[in-house]
Parts: sequence; C-alpha cells; structure tokens
Amino acid sequence: MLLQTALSFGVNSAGIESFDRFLLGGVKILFLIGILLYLIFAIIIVRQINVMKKTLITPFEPVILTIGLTHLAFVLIVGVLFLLIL
Amino acid sequence: MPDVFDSKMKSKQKKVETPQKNVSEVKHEVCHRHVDEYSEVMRHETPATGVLSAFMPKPLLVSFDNQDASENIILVLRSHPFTLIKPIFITIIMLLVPVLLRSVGMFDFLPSNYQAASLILWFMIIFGFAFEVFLVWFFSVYIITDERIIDVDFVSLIHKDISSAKIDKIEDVTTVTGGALQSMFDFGSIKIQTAGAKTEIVFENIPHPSRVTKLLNELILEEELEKIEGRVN
Repeated sequence: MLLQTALSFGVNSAGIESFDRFLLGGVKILFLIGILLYLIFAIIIVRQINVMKKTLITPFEPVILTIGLTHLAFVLIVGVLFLLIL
Repeated sequence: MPDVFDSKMKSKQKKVETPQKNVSEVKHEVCHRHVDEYSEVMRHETPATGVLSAFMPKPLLVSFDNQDASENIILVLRSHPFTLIKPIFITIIMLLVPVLLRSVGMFDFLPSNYQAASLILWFMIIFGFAFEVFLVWFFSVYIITDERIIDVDFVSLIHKDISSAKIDKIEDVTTVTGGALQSMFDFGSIKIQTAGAKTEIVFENIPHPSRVTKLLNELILEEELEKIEGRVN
C-alpha cells in the first residue's frame, strides 16, 4: 500500500508487499524509539518534580506530582498500545 | 602548688565561666521586627494565599528548603505571566499542525493505525512541551526573606541553579525595564550586586520591579539598623 502507487509500474505485487512490510517495520521501530525517548522524558519530569517540591514547598506540589505520575502512566499505556496495534 | 600554675584547674574554671552556646540558642537571640513595621511597600500588601501568582507578598502557604525557624518569607516572585505568551503561541501552532497536514493529505499513504499512533505521539509531545514550560515557570522563583535573597533557577528539566545572598551583602540594586511591553505590563529585571561568591543575582522579568527595588532598599536599611541596635549576634 505504501509504495504501490509510486512503484506499480514493472514490479510484481509480491515484491511491493514485502517492501511495504519492510518499510512499515522501519516506521514501527521509529515509533517505538520515539515512545521510549518520551518515556525517559516523563520519568525525568517526575524525578524533577520530586526534587523541586523539596526546594519550594507549597500545597500545590501534590497536584503537580499527580499530573506528572498520570502523564507517566499514560505514556506507559501508549507504549504498550503501540506494541499491540503497530 | 598554687592554683595559678595548675593548668587543669584553670581550664575547669574557664569552662564554668563561659558556657558554650549552641546554634539554636544563638538563632533565638536574633530579633526581627515584622516587615510591616519598617517596610512601606509591604505595609500595603495583603498576604498572598495562592501559590500560582507571580507576585506573592508575605505568602502564607509557601516555604523553602533550608529555611531557618526565625526566617520569614517577605516576597516570592516568578517571571511575569506575559513571558509565557511565546510558549503558549508555540503550543497553539503545534496543535494546529495535524489539522494542516490532514487537510493536504500528507499522511494518507500510512495505514490508519499508524496515523492514529502518530497523532497520539504528537499530542503527547505537545503536552510534554507545555508541562515542561509550566514546571520551569512554577519552580523558578525568587525569594526575598528578612535575612537573604534566594534565586532558584530551574533552567531545564536536568539543570537547576540555586544561589542566595545575605541582605547585608547586597551592594547595589539596579532596575532594568526596557521596551513598550515591559512598561505597559509593569515588569522588568533587577540586577543585584553582592559581595558574595556569586557577584550578581538577577531577578528576570519580575512584576513590579520598582516596588521590589524599594523593598530591597528598605531591607538593607533594616539590616543596618539591626546591627546598630545590636539585635543581631
């Protein structure tokens, strides 16, 4: 499907399909690398909130920490989802 | 042998005469007046009950690491909310990107599950960007207490810089307000020259810089007065 329109002249369909699968496999790896990097970013956010809430103490810190942890949990769910649907 | 030649005896006597004061006792002897008693600026300010403001006089709900028991927070400052306009604008542009790409059919060659995944990843990146901007703004604070000034710079997620200087080490305070926007919304920077290891502390883009400068001058005067009146050990 990916390159069918572009390379449909003179190439058999089996070859195109295998090339498609190869390309989509590459895209999937890129997505997984992307989500892995984002997961590291989300972990750093939670870590930094934990450090900074000791530096500046306000009643708003639990709210920020909850947002950070929810964000991290969401990234983990999306990561698993990517593994399943891609 | 007379007592005068007995070194052990002398040291015992000395110990009795001059008992060592521990640190907590010394701290209790520091007698601060309330800021309203000497500051014209703070007298007219009501104590801040929120924590999301950029200008929080006499905050009731804020404290910080290494705060002494006798140390009172007079003012907590953050960058003026106007400085967040640029990242907000970038966030809006980023939100519009998928709509624009969809309208020209740029990702139509991808299967639908890949299109959905790219959309989820993109919106996560936008959220991550906006959240990081908020965290940097929220945790980068300038704290003025009756003892010192503290500059907490949360530069990025992996870099923070905390510097402080005693009020009596302040040598010079300069207010910098430039441009139409800063004049219109009353925000600017304050450069504080100190005699400490870090010679300059900069409060960047803070609201009401002239009021803060006046407060710092009042604090310097009060600190000198404390020394003259012997209220500080």
